[in-house]
Amino acid sequence: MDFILRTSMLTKVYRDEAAVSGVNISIQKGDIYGLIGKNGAGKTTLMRLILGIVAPTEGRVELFGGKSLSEVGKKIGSIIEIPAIYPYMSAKENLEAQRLLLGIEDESIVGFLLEKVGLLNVGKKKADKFSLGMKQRLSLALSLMGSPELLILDEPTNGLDPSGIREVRQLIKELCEKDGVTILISSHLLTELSRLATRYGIMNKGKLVEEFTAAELDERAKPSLLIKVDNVDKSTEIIEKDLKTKNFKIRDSNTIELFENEENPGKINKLLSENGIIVESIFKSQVDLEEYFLKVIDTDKAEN
Amino acid sequence: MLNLLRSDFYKTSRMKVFYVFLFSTFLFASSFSFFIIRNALKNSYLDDKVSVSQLLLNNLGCTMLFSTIFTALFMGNDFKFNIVGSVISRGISRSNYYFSKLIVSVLLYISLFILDKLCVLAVGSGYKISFGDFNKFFFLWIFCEITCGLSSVCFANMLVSFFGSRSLIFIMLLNFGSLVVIPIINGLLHAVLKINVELENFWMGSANMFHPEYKQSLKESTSARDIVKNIIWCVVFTAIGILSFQKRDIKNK
Repeated sequence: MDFILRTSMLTKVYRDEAAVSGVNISIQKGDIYGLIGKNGAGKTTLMRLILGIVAPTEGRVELFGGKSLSEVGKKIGSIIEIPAIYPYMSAKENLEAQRLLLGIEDESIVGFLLEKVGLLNVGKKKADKFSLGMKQRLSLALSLMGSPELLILDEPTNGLDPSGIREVRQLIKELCEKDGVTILISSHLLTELSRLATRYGIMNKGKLVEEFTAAELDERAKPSLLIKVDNVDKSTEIIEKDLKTKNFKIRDSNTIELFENEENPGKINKLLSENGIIVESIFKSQVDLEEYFLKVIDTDKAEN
Repeated sequence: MLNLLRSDFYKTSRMKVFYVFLFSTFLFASSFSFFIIRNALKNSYLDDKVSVSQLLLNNLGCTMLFSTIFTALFMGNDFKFNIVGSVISRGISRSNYYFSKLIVSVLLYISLFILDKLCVLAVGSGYKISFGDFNKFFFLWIFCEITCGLSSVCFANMLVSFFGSRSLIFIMLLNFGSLVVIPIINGLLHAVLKINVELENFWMGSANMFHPEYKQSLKESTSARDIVKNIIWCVVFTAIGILSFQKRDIKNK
């Protein structure tokens, strides 16, 4: 079995609008796959398609090496958008109902999961009295029932405070590293996501516009110098001649992005000034996931 | 399926409304029966004997009302709190999910029914009781009435969950069918084609429970006809309910 999840040309059309369009995604065992996209990009619909909550207009979903959801559904845990919990039941009762649903005989799993998500001390308090963060934790515990091998988490840190976000991050990391759980996760907190994901997929307008690994992101996010000058053509000539490099890009009519010598902005400034170039600004830039995401979205927008 | 049922029974046991209905059934059944029997004997229209089948049929509407509300809450909660999606995403088939809800609803009705009738019989035990008017289909007839009624309730709930209040128009039409539409069609058939037909005999059963015939004694032929009719309607409602559920996308509320 080489993949845990694979979709082929997965498409969902609502009326005349494609919420998800021809998405091919492949997630290997042990991956933490971060799905990124603006609101309405199709991330949640893609997850709902994978989980059989909505039916695809076209395409198919294969799980655990070609199996269907009905065969392997018990190996999948999920949180989609809003926590799916009964508000009139306590955390323990919600988990008990889930335990019975999945046919798990070991009753101690309920206490174990409550402890794992930090809800062991909530007692008989009904879930409708929970804060959003507590509901999210309970939802996470419900998704972990049955020791799933694949977790599909849509905004799992929604409503959590910074310490809660950190705990969830650690829990996800632990699940992946210790238990070998494969995770498909979406989040708007890209900095958080970049601390977790091993692979990324960027969605825009229902399409998967780019996929890359964490290593590829590091490569693409190399630091550079952004130099704003009065004469771009002359400046590039000087850089090519004196620095002996073509490792730069012209960003606009007066900005050059140089991918070398990023530790020596003073040296570049001096060189250009000595050759009669007016350097309006020069600063070091490093693309993080957020900026890279925006760049990809902008490029996609320009192409369409 | 067994796990689904276990989970659904557990959820039922956690619903306050379940206990409220149990208590209400006990209260209504005991008090109503006491006053009805006493009044009936006082006014001598029961010939000093209370028929067991009449007692059993008595209050059937009340338990049906409780079961209908319970089923609506039981199924509606799953949609309201986005539970359906989380159950389906665990690989549980939609038809099993639907059947589980129907089975739990029917069993709840049966529990309320048994409780109700135990109360009624306990109250009636102080009087002379006639056991002579049972027919061999009596309990099967009641079971089919219940199952058919609740299959229509499950079906209606599924429609409401997917289509919201718009489907209430359809449900109201369904309910009023036997009361308004069928008599009109009967009348038209008689007036135009000179055909004497009682279409209500082919309509799902609960409305017929209030037919005078049932208040006296239930004929075997009538019971048999109603059993067949109710089985057919039950299959129709369940099949349409499951098919519509299979094809619909589950939306978050």
